[in-house]
Amino acid sequence: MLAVLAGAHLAIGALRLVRGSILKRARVVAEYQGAGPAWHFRMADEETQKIASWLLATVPEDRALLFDGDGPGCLQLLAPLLFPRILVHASALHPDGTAAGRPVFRGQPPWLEDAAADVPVVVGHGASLEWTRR
Amino acid sequence: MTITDLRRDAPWALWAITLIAGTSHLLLLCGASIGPWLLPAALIAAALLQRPSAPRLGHPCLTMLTVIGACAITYGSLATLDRSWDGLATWTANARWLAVDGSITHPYFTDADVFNYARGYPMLQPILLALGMDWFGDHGGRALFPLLWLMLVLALPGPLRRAELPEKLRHVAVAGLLLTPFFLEPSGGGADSGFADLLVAALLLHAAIGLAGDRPALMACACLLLPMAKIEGAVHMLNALFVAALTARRRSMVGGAVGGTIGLALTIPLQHFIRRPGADLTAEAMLLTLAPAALVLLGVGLRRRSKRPLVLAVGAAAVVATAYFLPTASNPVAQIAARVASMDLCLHDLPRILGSTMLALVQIKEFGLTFVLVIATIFALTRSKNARPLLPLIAMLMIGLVAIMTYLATRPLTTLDLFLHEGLQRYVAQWIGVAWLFIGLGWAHLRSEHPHVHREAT
Repeated sequence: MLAVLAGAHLAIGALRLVRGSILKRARVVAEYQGAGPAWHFRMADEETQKIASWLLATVPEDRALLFDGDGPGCLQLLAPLLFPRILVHASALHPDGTAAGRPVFRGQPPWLEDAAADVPVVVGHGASLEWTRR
Repeated sequence: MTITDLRRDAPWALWAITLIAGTSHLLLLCGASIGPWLLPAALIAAALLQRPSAPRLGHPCLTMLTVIGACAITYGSLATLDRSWDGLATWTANARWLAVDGSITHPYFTDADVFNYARGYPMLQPILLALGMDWFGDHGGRALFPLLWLMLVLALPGPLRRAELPEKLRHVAVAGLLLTPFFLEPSGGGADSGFADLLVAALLLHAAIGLAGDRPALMACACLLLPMAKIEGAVHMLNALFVAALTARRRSMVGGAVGGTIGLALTIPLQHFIRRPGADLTAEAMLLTLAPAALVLLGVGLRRRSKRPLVLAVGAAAVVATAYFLPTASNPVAQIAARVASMDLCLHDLPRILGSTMLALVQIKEFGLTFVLVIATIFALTRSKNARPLLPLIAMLMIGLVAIMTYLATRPLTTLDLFLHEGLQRYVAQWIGVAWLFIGLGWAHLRSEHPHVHREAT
């Protein structure tokens, strides 16, 4: 019985080595390389994908971006993808316009109405992101 | 046992990781930086302790399969940065910030207002990744993952050879481990996903080898590193240590207790400083460092022929006191221990947790027939009345399984489904190496007319 089970295990493993380890990996890597880091937001809604892609392309490396809302979810992905920028909680904004020792990012996505007087805050709602100004 | 024996007791790679882990934790605790020098220095120092040797898989087919697996994982690791959620959001995030200047003085670590979802996660994998990034860049540093997979696979042939398992069966057992799909595939938890479960699996296998063979230095290194690798690593370390004490593996018990205590003493303060920036470290938070000694006393007191009621009483009291008085804010292990101690568990969900765990063990796409073979081997050993020499590994596996289910029962209802669907398979995967060690040693005992030989051989 042990020999039959061991043989079956090796057969399953060999099959998965080709299908899972090689073919599936090649497909996933190709998908990622085609989409770039925004690939991580492929399961999110369209607005979240647009905000994430725009932030990754736009925020200068020395800036802090203000956030609020739920930690688990899209913010979890956005924070490491923004490296070396940092996400700082909106409540930590200093009167001099800095947060955690960095100037705060003040841009506005071009497809949204401009409100240059306020400070942008990206709000996490679990699986989605919302762009607000406060 | 001489110093030379101790030096040769653990493999070169494990010595190297132990030296990196110990030195880097001390440097970070002192507020200093980890420099790129640490990697070559540790590799050379480890070579002085134990000369690195070429892997001996024993059959060209095994070598070919290992090369194919390692190439696939290497491609997945180097082609892109992390593609899996936890790998990106926790382990690699910490590693990239650590690689900036080798210290934890950056606001990412020190400012509680900066988003750091992995705040307080153990730092061993980020340290290893950051050192690789220092030398080979963000992508190149991920070469760590195929190396960890090789460390897991290549750890198995040695103890099976020493147990005098016939060559063909040894090849089957090693092929069984290296062909187990979970770590080979690119899904969440796979080797190149960036999760820390592969590191834990490799360390856990070394701890099990140390336990089965009563090897003190091997057990010491594995027990030192486990709490630094992942939160549940501390539980794995205590499991191995308790079983060593219970089954009278004296040398591995002492080695493991020393290593585990040092590991906790270095990990707890570092986790505390990152988890709660600015908060003082209290003496109570360090209570967990007493857990290895407490469990050793409990294990010794519980031995079948033990006539040490005082040791048992002191051990039991120390375990209860540690769980009871540990401040829950100090670290996640303390929070789990406190929930278990106060029986704050989802008891009504136990049937669902038990069912999901049993189902995870027979997930063919993830584990092949690994755990079916474990059960079949236990059955065969029991029938031939030959299971006794392998009781330490059986106990370790069973306690590990109970620990997984207990941990799941401590999860809030809102996240239990997530843990059952995504976390459970990874917790089971950490036991793949131990499972194949048990299967291989079990076959050796089944084929042997003199089972007592193997206790000495291993």
